[in-house]
Amino acid sequence: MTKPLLYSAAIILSAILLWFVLANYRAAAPLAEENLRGSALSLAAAVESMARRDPTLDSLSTFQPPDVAFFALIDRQGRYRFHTNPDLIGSAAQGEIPRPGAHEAAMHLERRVVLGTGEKAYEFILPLHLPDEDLLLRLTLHTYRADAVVRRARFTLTLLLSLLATSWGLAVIILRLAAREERNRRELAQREGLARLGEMGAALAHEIRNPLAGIKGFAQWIEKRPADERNAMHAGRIVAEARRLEGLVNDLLSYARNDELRQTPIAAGELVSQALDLIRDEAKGLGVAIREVCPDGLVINGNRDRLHQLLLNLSRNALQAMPEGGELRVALRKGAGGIELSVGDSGEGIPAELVARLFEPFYTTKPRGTGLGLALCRKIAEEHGGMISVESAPGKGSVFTLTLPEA
Amino acid sequence: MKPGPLSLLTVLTLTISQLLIAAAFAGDDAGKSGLDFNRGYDVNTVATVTGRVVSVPRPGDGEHAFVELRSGNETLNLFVGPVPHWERNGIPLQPNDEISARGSKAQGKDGKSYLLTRTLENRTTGRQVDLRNERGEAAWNGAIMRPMHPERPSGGQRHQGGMMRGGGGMMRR
Repeated sequence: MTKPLLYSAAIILSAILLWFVLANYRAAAPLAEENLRGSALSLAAAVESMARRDPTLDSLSTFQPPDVAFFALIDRQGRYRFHTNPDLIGSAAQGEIPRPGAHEAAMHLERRVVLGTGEKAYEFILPLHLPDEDLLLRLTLHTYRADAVVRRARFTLTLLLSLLATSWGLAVIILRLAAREERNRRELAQREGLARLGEMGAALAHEIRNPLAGIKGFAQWIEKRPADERNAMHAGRIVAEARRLEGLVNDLLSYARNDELRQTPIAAGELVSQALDLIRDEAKGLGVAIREVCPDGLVINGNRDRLHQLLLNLSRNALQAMPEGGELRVALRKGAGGIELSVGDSGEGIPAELVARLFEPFYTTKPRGTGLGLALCRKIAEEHGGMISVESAPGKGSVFTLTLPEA
Repeated sequence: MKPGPLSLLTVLTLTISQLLIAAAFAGDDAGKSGLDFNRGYDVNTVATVTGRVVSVPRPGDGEHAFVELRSGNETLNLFVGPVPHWERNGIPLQPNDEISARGSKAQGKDGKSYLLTRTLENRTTGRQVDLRNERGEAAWNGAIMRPMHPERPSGGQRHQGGMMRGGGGMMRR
């Protein structure tokens, strides 16, 4: 609840700041233009006043305001009556000088021009009505001082944008670091919990295994030589349950095992075929067809027994997903991340909300499952530097993909 | 140890932000006048300035040679051509020499005042150099110069710069 509020506040604050500086930036250029127009009008008034006082216009040569690039007075014939460059007085005005029409409300023209030097300047053209003649004032101003407001606005905009970008960038980094820290903390807690559970399970399994072997042995003996016919059936049940418990104990011990693996190069295709051979009868009984695509020449480094257990678990898991029959597809190929083995079934598939928890120990959707099979698969895959993933869609079956490094 | 994606993201963010902040402080016009020194000239802004030399072009100053001039309250940067050209054909100048220059005045985007010098005279030594013709065409671009002052009481003219590559020339007196 707090997070969305904080995010919203940050976004709103950023948007307000952005709007403020953008508005400031957009207002800067008209403001600069207004400043230039104001200066030009003042200077034009001064020039007109001097021209009225001195019809020879000689006194204008002493008028040298700092922001003026040049100014000139042009007569009706288009000749310079006065120019700040005295060499040009009397010559024809260069270039096309636009004349403001009498009907125009503003009575003056203004524009940005580029001088021959490359300087960008402001040009202001205004008719002057002197007692003896009508002249056209051409006034060109430097823009550096007037454009200071634009530069300041651009500076503020760039600075704010960079600060906003930095803040957001750092916020993203901090959030990602915090998320990673939280994930690490959760994983560590989970690993510690699993380690404790494994140790406890292993101790328990060890204590159970011996008495269980005795119970199974005696039950088998009774099953073979029953004193009463009914006892044979009961003994058979005891043996079946004892075997199930034995399987659970073995899985638990395998899961808790942390000894160093002895790894050798293994032909992946051969390993897959061996595992599938063990389930062929079971598959046939369930009406499941096995389709196997295992090219030769793919070799992995690993512990044969552990990988065999992994493949058997995956294959049996797939068979259990198809109680009404179907197709078990096993394919081996060389992928970008190493050797990929996919085991797919045509069963009912797994709902999306359960997929994420499939590899958790003791999590199972089967009524008599232990919840250790797939957890053990993941453990074995990770022990070999590989990974296991699942893709499943309800009604379309599931595909488990095991990726192991190539030898 | 290989840097993780977060470390790369941090470095990238900080680099970009530093560049943006640097750009904000420097401004896009910083250090650049925006003027066309080699070919630019505007007859409308031609003026004559006099004053004292503050600094003279030195080897390694960059592509363009400037003489800094103090004229009244104003400091002007006199552009006297590309450095190699000035080194071959310029006149001796020392700080505090009184000089007079004529050329096209301009204000750069950096706020400094420049003069695209046509003629430069060192009044302290009496030496003068023509860097452009009357139309503002530069000697280093091949403009053919005509003597501005064919006769001088101090001993007439003498060609020291000779013809420039491409047919251009510059007069030194």
